[in-house]
Amino acid sequence: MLQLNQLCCGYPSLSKPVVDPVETELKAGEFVCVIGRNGVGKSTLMRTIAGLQPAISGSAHLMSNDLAQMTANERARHLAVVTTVKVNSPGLLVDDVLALGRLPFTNWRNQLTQKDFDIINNAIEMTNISAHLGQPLNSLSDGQRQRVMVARALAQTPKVMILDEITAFLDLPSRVEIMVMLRNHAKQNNGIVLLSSHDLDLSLELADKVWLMEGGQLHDGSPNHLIDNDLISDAFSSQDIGFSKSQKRFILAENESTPHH
Amino acid sequence: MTQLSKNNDMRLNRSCMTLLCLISLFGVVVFALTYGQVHISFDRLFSALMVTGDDPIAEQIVLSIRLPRVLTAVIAGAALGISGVLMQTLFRNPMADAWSLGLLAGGQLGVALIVTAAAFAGPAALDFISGFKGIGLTAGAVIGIACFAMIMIALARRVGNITLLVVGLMLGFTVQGLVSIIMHFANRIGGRVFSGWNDGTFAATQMADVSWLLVPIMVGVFLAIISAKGLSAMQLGETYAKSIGMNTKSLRWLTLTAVVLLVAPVTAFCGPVTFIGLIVPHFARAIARTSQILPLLPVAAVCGALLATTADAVVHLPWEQHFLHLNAILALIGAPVVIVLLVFSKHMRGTV
Repeated sequence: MLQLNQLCCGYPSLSKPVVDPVETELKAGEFVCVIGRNGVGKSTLMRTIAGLQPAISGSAHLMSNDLAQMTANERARHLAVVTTVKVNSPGLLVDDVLALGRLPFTNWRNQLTQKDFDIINNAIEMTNISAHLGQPLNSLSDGQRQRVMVARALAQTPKVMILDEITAFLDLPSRVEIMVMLRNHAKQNNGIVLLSSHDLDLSLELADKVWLMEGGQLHDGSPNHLIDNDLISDAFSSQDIGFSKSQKRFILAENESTPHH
Repeated sequence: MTQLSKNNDMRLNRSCMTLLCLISLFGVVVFALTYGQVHISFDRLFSALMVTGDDPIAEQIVLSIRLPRVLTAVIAGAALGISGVLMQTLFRNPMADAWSLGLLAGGQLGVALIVTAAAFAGPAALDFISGFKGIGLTAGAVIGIACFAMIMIALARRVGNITLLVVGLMLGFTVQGLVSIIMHFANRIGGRVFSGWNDGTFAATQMADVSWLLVPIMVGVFLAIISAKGLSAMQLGETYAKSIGMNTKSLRWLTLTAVVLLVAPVTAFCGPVTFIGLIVPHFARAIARTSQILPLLPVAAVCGALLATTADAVVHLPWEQHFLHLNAILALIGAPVVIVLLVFSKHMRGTV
């Protein structure tokens, strides 16, 4: 459903692209986790797919439509984005934020129909944020805000959701809850959820497919495929931490060599 | 509340509050037209407004002195109120307005340069400018405000809200310094023209000026209405606004053009008018209880007009001496409001 054709991303000011050309395809219903170390280009790749920055070369097609050729409004009808950017605006209520999720579908006065309200209320239920309705966004904690932003993205009824490190501010139960919810949403909706996270254990556990980014390269495959080919341990292991294939999780390295004095 | 639905109560509440403001506005307007050095009864006011010719003195006072002033205050207040909403949303800064971000300083500089140029060109040119404010001063104000607006919008992408406000303040001081140097080299008449303009007032317009004032402002209001939907999205920041389908680049230009069209004519005809654009959006949000931009615009317009006419009415009460200045009254109302907002409002926490 989502096809990347030799998509190469980065910034014109840099001499070499951040991410080498990527050729891959995601199918409907897939929950995909993007993992990789800091600065490896996860955000750049996701922003490029989302049309928030131009590609250096290549293209991303959604159901054989070039995403870069769409108008911003058309794209917003198919694709929703949540980032870690902190939203901070005077007097902005949670209700207003959720209503903005319907903006690509409303008329020039931004009036909501009953159908819009039903969709928003469904998103409120899925993300468990009904307690925050009527409150200013500023009064919420970072984790609560992030839930509201996810609800807003769900209200956009997108085919593809792109979520960049949204679980960073959430506690462990919330993190699991949101990731499981998004995974189910992708299945039920026949959509695609693309989520970048530093939560490797959880990503490997829940993802249908993993995009592992390392040194400008993207390796994709099922979590087991990447584990079996030692790609995960190559990308993340250091002298302090190693990946246990049997337990499918990272463990602290045994401190065998005592420091020399 | 566990569900979101069409909130008719709130909409009704908003309409009632707006109506209340409109009635107050009407009250202040009638008061300003009747009360003054010469008291004019309702009967005389009515016959003067109908231009019956029965009461030439009342007609003279109402039609050529009070009505232009009051109309100017209503139009200017509404324009400044709307421009404040646009500025605060575009910059995502609750303390942004044309004055606090230094746009008015740009207007002052533009007008000072035009006046000086005219003064050097000769007394005829100066007469032309001071007699026919419509074009000369408006051009100066438009150019100055537009230039400074572009500087600030470029700067806003690189620095934080507080830095931007301080830069706006410093631009104001810089321009004050520049202007007094320019005036030092201009001749005395040019200086008088400028300092007359530089003291904000709604009383300097004639009936003929009002249409000059109104036309660009109407265009500005139209652009504000068009950009309202995008500005609602802009509250989430540029990335999110793009991701929900907004062309942020054209939106920015559209909004800035609207701001210039709303603020420049007011500045040209009334001089720099402070605080209205800064505090009115906060009243409007409190009344409208939404941060959607479109329903906010009419509320901000009415609130702005009410504040402007009230301040103007206080200035023009039949005082023994005429030393009250419009901006002094506006500062006495506006500055405490800003302080209270910054210190106590939970909506503002963490946004400046």
